[in-house]
Amino acid sequence: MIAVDPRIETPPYQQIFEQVRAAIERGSLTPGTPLPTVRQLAGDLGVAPNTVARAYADLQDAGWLVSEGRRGTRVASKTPAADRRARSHALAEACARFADSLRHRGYSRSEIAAELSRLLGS
Amino acid sequence: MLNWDVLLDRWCLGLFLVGFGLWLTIGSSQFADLRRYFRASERTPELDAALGRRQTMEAIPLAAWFVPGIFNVLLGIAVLADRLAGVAGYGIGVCAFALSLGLAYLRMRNNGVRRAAALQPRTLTSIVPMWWYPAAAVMSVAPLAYGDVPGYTLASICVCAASVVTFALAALSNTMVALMTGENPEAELRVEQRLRCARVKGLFAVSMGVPFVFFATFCASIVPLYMGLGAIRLHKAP
Repeated sequence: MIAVDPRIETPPYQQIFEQVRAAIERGSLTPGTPLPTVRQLAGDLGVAPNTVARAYADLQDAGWLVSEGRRGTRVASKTPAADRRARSHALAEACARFADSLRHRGYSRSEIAAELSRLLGS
Repeated sequence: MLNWDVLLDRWCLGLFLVGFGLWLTIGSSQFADLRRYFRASERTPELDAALGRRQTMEAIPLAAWFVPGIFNVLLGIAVLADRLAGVAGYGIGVCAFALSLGLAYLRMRNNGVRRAAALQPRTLTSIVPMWWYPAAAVMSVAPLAYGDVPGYTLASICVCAASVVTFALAALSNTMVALMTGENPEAELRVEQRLRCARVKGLFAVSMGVPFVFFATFCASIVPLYMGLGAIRLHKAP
């Protein structure tokens, strides 16, 4: 299941890209699993078909998906394992930026940690 | 002595239309309540919240059931008063019902803010097997074979139109956009799948059931069979 949040700065095609990739990495989408058509996913998410087409094209370029013409799009049988490192690196960077922005707004380290702990349920 | 044709055409179909209309009218608030698709034991506060959001997104008015219900009652009264032939009343009644279903579908399809999707392809055979389509298609156009029978022309066209519309709605509902906000993906996906499955099967049943009742009125011999089936159902253990 994926969702597009129009309130965040990340463009919708990037959100789709990240979530599909995360689903493959988690194992929710196994190799060979067929994906919805561009039209179906665009309709469900309420975005333009070009947005989904771009996300699918990027995922294919990155080796996560394969297009089988009329048979649709499937999860690639060999997904790029090296990308896991890039993903954790991207997460670390995003967290660092988020923490910095909160510190600039005057929140202390303990306040941020407490709120994040509450949100994440730990 | 009461003529069998009069009994079948006027009284059976007249009372059927009145009963069907009352069922739609009285049950309109219940039909609009999406909680009926889930048993009480399945329901949780999260699921109820997802159903509430879904109901808001769909925004199907009570009139979708109420208006064809009242219309069918009026048709039934016209048939009972011998102002309208029973089969013609039945044809017009099911046409009105199919039209109402079509409008409800269009309203549902064009309403709501959609932000979430399941990563599963939806195909025509996701819910029902492929053989249902030719079966429903044949059943939908079969009433036209009675088009040249005196007194059945209007009814056969109306029944065919109603059946074709509901058949098309069943096929379209199979691949219709998912209505999910993404607030609670798990519950919303459950609601989405249950509603889609129930509606597609329900629409297929209607598209095949509408011509079946029409054939039953033509072949009066099917009526005793109906009664037999009813008796079996009545004596079934609870």
